[in-house]
Amino acid sequence: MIFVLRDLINGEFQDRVKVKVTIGPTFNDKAEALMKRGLNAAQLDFLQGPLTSRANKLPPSAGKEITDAKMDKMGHEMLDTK
Amino acid sequence: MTSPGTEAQVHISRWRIHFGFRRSWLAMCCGLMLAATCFAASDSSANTPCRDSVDSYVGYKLTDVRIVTPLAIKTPLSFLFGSQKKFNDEFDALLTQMPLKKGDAFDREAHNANMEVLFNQFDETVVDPGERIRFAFRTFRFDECNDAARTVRLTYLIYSSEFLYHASRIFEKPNNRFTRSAAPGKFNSPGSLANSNGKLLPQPLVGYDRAREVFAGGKADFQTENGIIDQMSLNGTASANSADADFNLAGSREFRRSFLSHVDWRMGYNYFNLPSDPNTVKAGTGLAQVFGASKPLGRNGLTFRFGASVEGGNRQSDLPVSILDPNLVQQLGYGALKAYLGATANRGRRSWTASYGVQLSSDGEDPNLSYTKHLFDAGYRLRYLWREHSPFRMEAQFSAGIIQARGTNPVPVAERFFGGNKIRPFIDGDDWIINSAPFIRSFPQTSLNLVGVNAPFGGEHFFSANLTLSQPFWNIPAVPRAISQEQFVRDAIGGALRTARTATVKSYLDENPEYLGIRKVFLGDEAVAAPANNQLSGNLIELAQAVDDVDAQLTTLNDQHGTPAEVLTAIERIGDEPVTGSDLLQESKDAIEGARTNPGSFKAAVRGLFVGFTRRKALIPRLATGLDQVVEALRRAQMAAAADTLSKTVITLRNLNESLKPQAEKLIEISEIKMERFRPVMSVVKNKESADDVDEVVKKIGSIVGGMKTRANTMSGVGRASLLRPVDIKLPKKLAVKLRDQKDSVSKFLNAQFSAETRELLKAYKETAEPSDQLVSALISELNRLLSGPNLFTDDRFEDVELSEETEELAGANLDGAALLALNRSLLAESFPGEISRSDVDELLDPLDGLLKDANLALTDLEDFESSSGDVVHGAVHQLAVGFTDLSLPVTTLIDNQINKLQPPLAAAGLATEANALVAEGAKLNALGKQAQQLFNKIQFPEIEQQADRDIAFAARSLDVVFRELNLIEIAPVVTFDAARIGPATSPGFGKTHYGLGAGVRFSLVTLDFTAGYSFNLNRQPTEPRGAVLLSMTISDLFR
Repeated sequence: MIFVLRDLINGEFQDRVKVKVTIGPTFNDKAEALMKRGLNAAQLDFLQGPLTSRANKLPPSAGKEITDAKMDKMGHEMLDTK
Repeated sequence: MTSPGTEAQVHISRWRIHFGFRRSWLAMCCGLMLAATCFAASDSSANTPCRDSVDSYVGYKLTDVRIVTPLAIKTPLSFLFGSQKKFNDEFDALLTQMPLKKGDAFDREAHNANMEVLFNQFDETVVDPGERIRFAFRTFRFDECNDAARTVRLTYLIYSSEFLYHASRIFEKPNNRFTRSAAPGKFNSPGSLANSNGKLLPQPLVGYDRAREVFAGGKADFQTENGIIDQMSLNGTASANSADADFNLAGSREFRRSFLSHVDWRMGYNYFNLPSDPNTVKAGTGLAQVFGASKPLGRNGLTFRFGASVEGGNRQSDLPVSILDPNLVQQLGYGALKAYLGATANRGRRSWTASYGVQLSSDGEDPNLSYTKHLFDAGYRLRYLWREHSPFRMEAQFSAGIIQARGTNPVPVAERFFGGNKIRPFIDGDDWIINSAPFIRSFPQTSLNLVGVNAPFGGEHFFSANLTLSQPFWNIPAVPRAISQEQFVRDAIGGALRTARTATVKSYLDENPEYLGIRKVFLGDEAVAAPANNQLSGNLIELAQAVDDVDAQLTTLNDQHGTPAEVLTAIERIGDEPVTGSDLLQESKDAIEGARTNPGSFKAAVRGLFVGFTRRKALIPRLATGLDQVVEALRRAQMAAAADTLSKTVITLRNLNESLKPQAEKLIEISEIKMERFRPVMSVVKNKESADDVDEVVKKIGSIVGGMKTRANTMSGVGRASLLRPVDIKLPKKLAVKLRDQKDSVSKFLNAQFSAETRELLKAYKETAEPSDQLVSALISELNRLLSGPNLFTDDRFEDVELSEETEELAGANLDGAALLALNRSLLAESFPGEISRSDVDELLDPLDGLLKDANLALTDLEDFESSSGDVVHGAVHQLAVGFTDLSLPVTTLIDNQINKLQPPLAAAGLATEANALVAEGAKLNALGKQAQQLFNKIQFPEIEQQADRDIAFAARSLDVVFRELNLIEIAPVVTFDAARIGPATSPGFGKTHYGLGAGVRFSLVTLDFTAGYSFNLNRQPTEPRGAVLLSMTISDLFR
């Protein structure tokens, strides 16, 4: 699951936060359901709120992947958010 | 349900700006176009059959690694895709970044890294405001595989809407700006080919018309940004007997919050000198114009167009005065005021247009009115998609006009109605074309001019009716079928569109006055002094102060010498909350800061602070609870003063929370529709008082499927009570490796049960090749022996296997015969899910199981309807019963479709009773789904949701066109029929209706249609032509 937060920066939409959460077998059904259903408002708020806040705490990755256990946990939390 | 390695994404932004491309491409050789189709061929190597499995080629040497797009199709027209070289250069650069390269041995991890490189490249491209939709697919395939030489070629297929844009951008015309706003484009990227600002864009032009003969010329555009005039254009063509030219300065303005969508203005001069045998019609006109269009209104996107033009110049003809009517003049000054009103509406693949135009003219010197011209023009377009990518097209047009002279004032010949095979716009240069002359394709341009013997001076009134029919017989879809037909992709598009709707509602919410009012309360006013007596106003300024106070107090306690460990532990827990791991203080500060400074994340931040999420309670109450622990620890440590100070701050925090929480809840409520409105639709979807709702029928289908599987398992050769056949071993190589290496307890057990010969065969097996028939046959024989009994299950042996509930229940039972065989087959299949098939019936029912799972998950979200939120219910019902037309069908329809597909094979397998019961329930489910859809469509959503729905409907329609209709190349036979008449007749036998019947071929390149053929003059008069060549180049308005 990949979440990209884009902001209008200098007149162009640019990626501000990009989070990739790998869903294990336990959450596969929920992740697939999310993909087919789409995000609800609370999930969108969760991504823009706590998850983005956590992502901003991580050091700039300069395009490289950073693994963060808390973020991963939040990704799973987001699947249950209604 | 998913295709490995295939990913889909859809980005949608709701900003719209007009397209500034004014580049048309009008010169094209018919022969070249048609010849191209003979050479057009998809990538031939795609025909070499290779295995899909990545594991099949591990260790194979890669003869090549390449990236291709649909634009890589080799045709003599490749030069039209002027950007191909740019893509090739980009792909070459990407290949150098990929870990897996030509000459390497294929490796799964490196291949995944290659996919990641592609993902990054096509995900992070800047999405401009002009780009309302973007989608991208990345997938791969193996080709040119050679098992003997152990070589394979790895091809990555990239498909992006960006490529489509590059294929069609050179054909942009001004009059397509309004209707084709879905076309992707990149304005701001300096390197973009589409960035035409500040560049002179010259284009040569060559053409043929029987009246004009061969003509040539060119056009040049220059665009700038901003200013009253942002575009300059110069066009001109000439032939031995004709000429036309125009020069224009134009500007425009877009409106975001107005009834109007945009207004354009223009000043210019045009001239034409066109033959109308034996006459020549000439005109020179200076003009000043203004045009506009409303925003699309209602479900059918009803759009009004209006415009006015003030013109002055002259009108001339070469006809001898002797043959002219006394009311006609050879040469006259010209002054006119033209005005029009038009409307267009679209419903699905049908569109309607209608316009009325009026021209008030004088002779240019005398300001009094000399004559008036009235025009009416209406059209109907239909694209009937009876088969995907093969739309039957019908275009019908009706035009009529009349000139009314005032008294004895003369009318210049050039202002009369001359018919022919070229549309003559009422107002030159406008996006909105109103036909101002009879259009009949069996006459060359301006050749329908005779109203009597020796009277070739056109008519005072006319009508024309035109019909064009076409049906493609050959095409290359714009989106490869491997992608467009993949159910997973269609489902992902549905999900992406629903997400886009949520985001769009949110963005409109940011402009809602009630929302903005509450936000203002939250933000408070820095300039206003705090209320006296420590009274709180209730805003984020005060909250930020309280949190800062907490921070200061905790920092002091942390830093001061002698703070007891119990207090420090309680403080630590605020920085690392048990269970969530949250830093409550920092997260609160971040959320407050975010809410105060970033309007886009205001609602998210406020929800996080005061309301919370399903599995994450609100921050402020959690912070207060954490601080309570610190206060208690301080009191136990006899630090009363510090405890009292902190306690006061906690009270302030709680008071602020009490004061702001209702506002935060209100903020969230604003965007949600009242659940009451969903009640009618819920009566069909999930109704505890009814046995015939979607929920019940889905359960009944699930129960029939379960019963069918149970019965199938007792039927030899049908269900799991069947011995393995070669076809049941899905991946022989992978199975052989697992059984050889014995890395898990089941493989170990099985290997130990095999005969010495089979174990030897396994030991000798090298995964560099597929297992031999001898080995596969030996393995099947050994496994079948074990399947027959005894029970393979022991707790230890299957400890690491994720068994299904059904298998777990039976595992400990004392079974024999077919039941034991079925259990053992289940145990094996679930231990090796990728390698061994469960049974024919299971494989058949897999897609239906997946759909039932989708339905049940959606219905679970509706379980607690009363306490659920509006958008959760909206999403679940939409996925279940509404969907996005045929692009992403609702789950209820998909289940019915799947059941109908399954009926014949299930009946053939001896399960006709259950299959028939499924068909009956599937039809019932589909009917209930349709009923729910009707009720859903009747829901009166709040205005911002309606706005979002309109935006998303447009996006869905555009994607539907791209996925189900658009072709990269298409060839279609075309039939045309025209009828036209000019009058009044000045001699008997004239003034009759002329008929033209034509046939031809249309060659389409993305949205550019090039038609060539011949139209016959059916009731030809002695002096009239036999017919005329059909030659046209137009842009299809597929994205209306």
